[in-house]
This record gives sequence, structure tokens and C-alpha cells, in this order.
Amino acid sequence: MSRPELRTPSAPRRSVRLSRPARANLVALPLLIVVGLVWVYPFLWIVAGAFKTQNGLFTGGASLIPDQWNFDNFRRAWVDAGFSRYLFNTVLYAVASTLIELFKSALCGYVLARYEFPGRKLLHRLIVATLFVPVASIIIPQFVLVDRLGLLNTRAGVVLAMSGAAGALYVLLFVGFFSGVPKDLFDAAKLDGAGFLRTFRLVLPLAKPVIAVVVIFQFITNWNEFNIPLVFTLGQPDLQNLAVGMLSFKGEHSVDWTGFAAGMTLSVIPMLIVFIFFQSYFVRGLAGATKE
Amino acid sequence: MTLAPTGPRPPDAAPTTAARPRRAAFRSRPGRPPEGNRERARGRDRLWVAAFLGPFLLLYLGFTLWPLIATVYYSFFEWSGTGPPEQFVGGDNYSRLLGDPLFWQAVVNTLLFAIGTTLIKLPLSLLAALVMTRKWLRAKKALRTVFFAPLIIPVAMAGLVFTYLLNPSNGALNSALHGLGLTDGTTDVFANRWTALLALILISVWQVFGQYMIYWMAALQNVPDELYEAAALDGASEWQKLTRITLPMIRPVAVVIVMLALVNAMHVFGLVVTLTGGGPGTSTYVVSYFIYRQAFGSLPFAYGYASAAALLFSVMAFVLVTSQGLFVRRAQRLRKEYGV
Amino acid sequence: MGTGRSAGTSRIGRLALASVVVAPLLAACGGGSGSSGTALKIWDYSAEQTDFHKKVTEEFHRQHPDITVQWQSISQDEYKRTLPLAFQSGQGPDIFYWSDNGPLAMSQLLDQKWIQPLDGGSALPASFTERWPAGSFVNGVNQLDGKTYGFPLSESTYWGPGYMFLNKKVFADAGLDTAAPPKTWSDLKTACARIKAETKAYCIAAPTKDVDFQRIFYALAAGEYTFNDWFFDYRKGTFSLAEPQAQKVFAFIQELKKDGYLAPGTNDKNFSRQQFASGQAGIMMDGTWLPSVLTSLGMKSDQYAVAPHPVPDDGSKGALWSQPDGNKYWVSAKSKQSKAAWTFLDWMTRPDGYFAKEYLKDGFGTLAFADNARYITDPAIRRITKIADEPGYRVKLPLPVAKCPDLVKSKAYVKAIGERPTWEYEAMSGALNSGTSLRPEAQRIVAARQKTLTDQLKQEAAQGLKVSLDCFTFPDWSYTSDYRPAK
Repeated sequence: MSRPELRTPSAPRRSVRLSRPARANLVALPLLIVVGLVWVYPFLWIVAGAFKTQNGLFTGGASLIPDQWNFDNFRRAWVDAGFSRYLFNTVLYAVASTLIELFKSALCGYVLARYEFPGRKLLHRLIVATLFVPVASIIIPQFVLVDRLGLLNTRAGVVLAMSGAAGALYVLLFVGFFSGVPKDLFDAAKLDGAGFLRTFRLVLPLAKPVIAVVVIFQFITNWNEFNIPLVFTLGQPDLQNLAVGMLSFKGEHSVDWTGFAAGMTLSVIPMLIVFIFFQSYFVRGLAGATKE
Repeated sequence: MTLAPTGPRPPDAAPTTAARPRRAAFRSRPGRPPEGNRERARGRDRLWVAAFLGPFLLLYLGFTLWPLIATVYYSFFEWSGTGPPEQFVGGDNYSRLLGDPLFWQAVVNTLLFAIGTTLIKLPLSLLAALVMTRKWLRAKKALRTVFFAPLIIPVAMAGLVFTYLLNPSNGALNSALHGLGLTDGTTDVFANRWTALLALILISVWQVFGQYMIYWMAALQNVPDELYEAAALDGASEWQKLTRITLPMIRPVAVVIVMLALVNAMHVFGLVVTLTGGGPGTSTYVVSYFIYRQAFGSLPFAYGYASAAALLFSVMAFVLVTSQGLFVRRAQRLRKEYGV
Repeated sequence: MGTGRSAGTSRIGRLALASVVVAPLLAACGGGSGSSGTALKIWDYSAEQTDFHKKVTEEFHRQHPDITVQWQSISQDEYKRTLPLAFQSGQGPDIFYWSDNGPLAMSQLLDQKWIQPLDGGSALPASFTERWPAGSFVNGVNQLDGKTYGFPLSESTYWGPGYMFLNKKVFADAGLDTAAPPKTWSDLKTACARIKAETKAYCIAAPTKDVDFQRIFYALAAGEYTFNDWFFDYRKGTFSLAEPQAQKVFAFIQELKKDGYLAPGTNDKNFSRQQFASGQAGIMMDGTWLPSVLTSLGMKSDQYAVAPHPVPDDGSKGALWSQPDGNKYWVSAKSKQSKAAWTFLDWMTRPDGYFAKEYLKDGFGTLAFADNARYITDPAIRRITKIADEPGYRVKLPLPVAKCPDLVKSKAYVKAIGERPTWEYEAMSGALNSGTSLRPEAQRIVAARQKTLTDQLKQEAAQGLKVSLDCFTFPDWSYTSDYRPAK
């Protein structure tokens, strides 16, 4: 599987014992590590802030070492931001609406890319056009709709609103992907006698990178989403999620930044896990689908 | 590497012969429109097509199209958001907007921001994605996670970090620049429109970089390996592989990514609120901030006016981005005609 | 490998299918809160009082087992966006917090149909209204047509902006004594010069981001003239940012900046407060709420001193304002619990009740219906009450609605201030950063607001309301004393 150009030197150079990949690593890695450290530094600063005192956070400047190991921030995050209460909702909202999002956009994207049907162009253009509408500015009618459906103050209402609002974007990604799938693949499937559903199931794994994109981003968005859970569960605060709970750090006269940092530190973990797990979808490669 | 048992290719076909015709295909590819893949649904397939569209259409109608139409309706009213809209004002909201210099300043800033971030983040993240998908690179997982990390920070928190780091009175970054002799130590990047905008752009690039890196990585996975292998046999250089294979192959997705980058940047809000609050003065006002301020500034809320602003800007953004798309397409067609 | 791949395919397929199955199931697991007795929902945005509210609701429930209070705090930015939606869908709170635009709040809330009178509109017992000093219930502010809609929570003599806080350590380092605080603008500059020369700290932590600019402006302007929080000058009947007094105050702030006496940067209030609390700045001008904030930042009340705001060298020609803006808790129009809401509010406002005692003890502020001096323990707040007790420090503004009762139905003033509500602050922060004069933009602002006000008043007058610009003009009032209407 390794690419030939990596093994066969294209130009004879001075003979060193290091292989070409090793040399490339030697150049690229230090550079990437330096850039990466700069990149991740603000992130680490916040995580370190979760252990600092308010004053320590303010006066500590760039330091990543807490002025004292203050675990009280985590206690406040756990109790005040309602981690213990809201974790279940948060997981449920994030998982359920990610699945719905994935399901509807994969199906729609596949059909839009594969089939010609009346209104296809119009639908495609509509989807593109609605990308430009700021989601926040249409929340009132969405709210009215969920209200009419009688789903206000239910978990189903939140999930529906979360997975209904976004998604045009993912459809376009799926369209982009499926239209890149070589036609001979479909022809071959047809020769094999595969029907509509079977063909879809055959090519869906090709879109693993897009699936990973949808899962990663929709999961993060839903995990951090606070507009919808806040607005759609006003009458039922028990149904809110962590992002809403974190608002309790923002008071009328002051902001509890270290508590906020502790809350963020706790809530970042599931997102990192999802990312680390799904990122392998980007490297597995799809080459196998079109050749032996 | 094998395909599922139902794989389309006869198992006895040698890899090289499989690659040859594909190479020919790749030569002719750059001009080939992706539309070539579509076929007309027949018979029972039509039902399947409808069934596949169903879930999306249903949610799309309910949560995007209908709300959009309702918003258009609201935009013709002077309406505070509670009770039914009663005070019809016709196009008043729109004419007020067109005559509002602050709105136009916000539009200009938003466009500057959108173009600025897009020009920086897309090439850089593509480069990063190319590097991060190299087979020889070590520690890929860790590096990717590092570039991804800023993305999961809530915007309020990201704003705080940079407020602290860039502050002229005790900011770490500021004192570092001072230590290097680059500044006098009291540089306030948010005191001037251009530096403030630049800071907003760079911070936003920092935050969303991972997202676009991932988009690009996903796109790159669509390029079959054997294209590269065939090109290598032809003695193509890395640069030729990039420009002749990679870029043309990821074009369908790239169009989407560029659009997303522009659209997302046009909706910038949180960073502006936390970092500049639209200031100094109104010099970093962006459209979403303008809308927010208009709608919730004081009772009675001006939902009608805010709806009009949101719609007007959406239309403007749509026209701009799609006309840019058309322009690129025309340029490509011309290029093809001249055989460049 | 092949089987693994096809298994993967069907796994994704199954996941996708599962989501369809899950969706309807979710509908089953929401809603339905069954608690016996009456549940009373209260909303506000005082998240820092969450623990206090918990104690209060528990205590109330102990005394009134049939009523359960759910007190919820939503952060201020979200609150304003959320409340309209909540009311629209009929799931708003029974009691809610609203203090925007002070004396205008009631007429605005009535206009939105958000509020109902206390106790369903029945006459309130004298024992209730007697808890407040005379003149606390004003037609057009919290009463209308014989019904009472609200009551002052915070009193308005002590509560408000306009105090100067001094960091004792910074002052000591500079060889200054907080017991002899700077009294005039020149004193302030002298002290700042000293702090700048002798210490590493900045002199004044002044937030200049957005509306937070008001903190230093209000405090310094109070020595020049008297206006309200929309820069409206009732003596002249005009928005006043373009007047010479305002220009002079702003020019002084610009001087402070030029001399390097303001901590650099366009900071928000939270940042500036931390700067002050951590000893990076010696002086901060802020309001009655600061002591509780400083406590939460780890600064104890013996580490700082409170002083009156400095006045111009030729003496004070103005004052801070006091107006009936303490009405904060309202009963929502759609609430079906007006009896329970009344029971709670009646309980909450007992001068010697649990709420008053604990609120004052915790230092959240001052209350209009309780003996503040008796229960406040925080030395800093006690010091604040002493300062504000000085005659002429904070004066009662004229009240247009008392002069022209029809103003209750007028939207002119609200319209005038509602157009670009933060325009004044944008202009100030712009001018401060560029070092240019505030005057041209101030003139534009005043012209725009004044035009909206007069046009709308004329329009309303034509429709039969007895309103005019005259309702907002009180030429016989002096800036330094309480306004008393001539009978």
C-alpha cells in the first residue's frame, strides 16, 4: 500500500542511512510540534485556569502553573453548573440529534448526487441559499412550531429542534462526496444486480470521512448548544443541558471565570473522546473500494 | 486491500491494468462536471428516492423553510416579538436599514472579516490537512488533536483567553512582544479599527482552523490512491500531483468548503461580543452584532427590524458568494478553452 | 477483511435506522412534573445570588408548605431574549425581574402586556405600603388606575453608581493615605501622578468597553451637572451629551488617559474590577454592588476604602441622581398564581423578615423596605450609606410622568432612547481611543434623539394625549437638590 515514490528515490542524493520518511519526519515534526504548542497553548491555559483562584487567573499572565491547586472550582462546576443533573440530558441530546442529522443528510445527499428527479435543482439551490440565513434569527418561528407540535418542554422537542435546524451544510458535503464516486462503481453494482438499497449500503462506507465530519461537528455543536435547550425547556429547567448550566457562572455583576474554566474542562472530555475515536476515519483510506 | 465481496471488479484484474484506464480518466477529469454521475430514477427506485428525501425534507420544511417565510413576514411589521404582529409597516424596515450608516459599516466589516479569515484559514488548513494525511508522518493523531482542540472551547472562554493574553496592561502576549522589542509594551490591538479587525480574524482562524483541516482531510480521502501511484509511474513531482490530481479531484467538495468558510465567517458574533464589543466606537460592528443590538437593545424589542436586517444581509451574502462561484467557474471554463 | 467491512456497513445502516426508531421514543420521556400544592416560578438574572435564593425558597416553603418556589437565574444577555419567548408560549415565570429604563419599566411592561397588578388588582393593605418611605408608590411608575403593579426593591439613595474605591495597598505603596482621598479633579491627578511614580500599579481601573464606560463618566460628571442614565438633562429638557458640561467631563477623562493615569486597554467591567482587586490599579469608580463583587474576587473590605467621587476644583455643581427605579419584581400577566405570588412578595418584603435580613447580611445591596443600617454588616457598604447620606450627594430627579400623567401612554421617550441604545458609549469609546473631540458625534446623537422625542410627542399630542416637551423640562430645578414639584 505504501506509495512507490517514497521507496524509490527520484533523484540520487547523498547517501544517508536514514530512510526518506525518517528524514521528512525530522524536518516536519519539530516544526509541527512548535506550531502545535503555540496552537494548543490557549487551550491549556484554560485547563490550567480551572485549578487557579480568580486572582491567580488574572495575575498569572501566561503561566500554565496554577498559583494554588484549587479544586473548589470543580466542585462549583459540578454543583452550580449542574453537571450531576444535566449530564444525562446533554449526552442524550448530543447523541440523538447527531444520529438524526447523520441519517437525514446522508440519505438526502446520496439521492441528490445520484439521481435526477423533478425539482432536484431547485432543492439543491434552496439548500445552498438557506445556508446564508443566520440560524439565530429564525428561532422564534421554530419555537412556535415546536409549541404547536406540543413538544415544548420535552426532550423530544429539543432533539427535534437541534437536528432540524442545522443540516443543509452536511447535505451539501454528502452531495459533494457522492458525486465524486466514480460512475463505474455504480455500473458495476448494477451489473451485480444490486438494487437501490443495496447499492446505497455499498457506497455509504465510502463516505466515512464525511460521516466522521458530521458526527464530530454535530456532536460538538449539540454538546455546546445552549440556545435551543434554554429556550425550548423554559418551563422545565430539569431538561436543560450543561451548556445552559454553565450560564450560571455569569452573574449580574461578575463572572466566575475559574468555575467556567473548570466546567469547560469537564465538558471537553467527551468531545475529545469522540474526536480521537472518529478521526481514524480520515486515515483508513477508501482506496480499497475501487481497486483490488 | 480488498473491497467488500460484492466488489465490482473482477478479482483477477491486475492492479496496473486497473490503474491505466483510470489514469486516462484522470487526464480528462478536470473539466468533467460531477453531474455526469446522475441518472434518472426509474420504477421502484422512484419510491426509494422519495423515501430518502423524506426525513430531510420534513425537517427542512419545518425548521428552515417555514421559519424563513415567517421571518420574511415579520420583517414587514413593527413587532416586539410577543403577540401576533399587528403593526404593518410595509417596506419601512428595509428603507430604514438602507439608510442606516451603521448597518453598512457592519456589512463592510463582516465582508472584510469573512474574506480575511477565508483567505487565511483555507490555504493554511489545506496545507495542514495535506501534511496530516502523509503516511510517513509520525504522531499524526496527537498533532491532529492539538489543532482540533481550540474548536471545542466555548466562544466566551476563547474571548476571555485573548482578552487576558492581549491586554496592554498585563497581557502575556503583549509583554512577550515587548520583551522581543517589537512593541513598546502598551500596544492595544483593540484600540484601532484595523488592528482590531486583524486580531479578530487571526483569533477566529485559530479557533476554527481544526474544522477546516478536518473538512480538507475528509475531502482528500476521496482521491483514490492508485491515481497517485499511476502519476508516480509517470514520474510526476509532488507539486504536479497536487495540482493535477489532488486539487481537481477534491473540487466538488472544495466548492462546498469555500462556501461554508464564507458563510460561517459571515455569521461571526461571539468573538466580537467578547473581544471588542463592536468597538472602538462602532468600528468593528458586524451584522449579527448589529442585529442583536437592534433586536434586544431595549423594550419594545425590534424583531421586525432585526428580521429585515438578517434577511437583507442573507440575500446580499448569497448573491456575493454565488456570483464569486460563477466567476470562478467561468475562469475555469476559459482556462480550459485556452488549454492552460 | 471483507466481512469486517460489510459488518461495518450494516452497523452504520443500523445506527441510521436506530435513530428513526429512537426519535418517537424520545417523545415519551419528557414533560410531566407533578408536585403537590402550588408551584411559583421566579426568574431573574442574579446568578450570584443563587445560593441565597435557595435558602429563601426553603425558608418560605417551611412557613408556607402549600407553595413551592422555583427561583431560576438566567444570565442577563440570555434573559432578555428568553423572556418574550417564554411569555409567548405561556410558560413564562409567575414573577420576573425587570428594571430596564427605571421609572419607565411599568408603562413599557404594560404596553407589552407582560404584567398584572399585585394581588390580582385588589386594594393592598396599608400594612404593606407602610413598609416603604412615603412617596415610594407613584402613579405612572408602579401604580396605575388605583392598582399597584410593583414596589421598590432597592432603595435609590445608596444604590447606584458614583463611588470611588481606593486600594489601600496601592495607596500605601505610593505613600498616600486612603483616609485622605482625592477630593477634587486636581487631587485625583496628583494622587495618580504619585501612584504612577511610586508604584507599579496603574492609577485608575476604568472600564471603557461599551456601556461599561458609564462607571467613570457618571462618577465624574456628577460634579458638573445632574442628568439621568440616558444623559437627559431635565433642567434643560434635552439629551445632554453635547452640552459644555458633558464635554468638559469627557475632556477630563481624555486628559487622564493622555497622562497615563487610566489602565490601558479597552477593558470591560469584570477586567477592571479584577485589576483593582489584584492591586494592579489603585482607584476604581463603581457602584454600590462593588463590595459583593470584590468579596467574590477574594478582596476583603478592610483592603480597600470608599470615598465620594472627586469634584471639579471650583466645587461641585451637580449631583448623582436618584429616581424611582427600584421596582424590579413584577407579576406576569399570564400567571395563574397571583394569590401565591402575592403571598410570596408580601412575605419577601417584610422589613424584619428572613429575606431582608439575609439579603442585607450577604451584602447584595440595600433594600427600600428595610432598615439597612441595622442589618448591613459589610463595612464598605456602611461607608457607602454614610457617603450617600450627605445632602446633595444624590438628589431626586424630576419625574415627568408626575407632571404629565398621560406620559404613561406615551412612547416618545422610549423611542428616543431605543434607537441605537448604546450610541453614546460607542461615541465615547471611539473618541477616547482616537483622542479626538466627542462633540461632533455627541451633537449627532443629541439631534437624533431629540428629534425622535419631539416628533413623537407632537404626533401623540395630535392624537389627544396631553404630552409635550414641556413635560420633560423643569427649569426651576437646581442640579444639587431634590426636585420638589411646585404645588
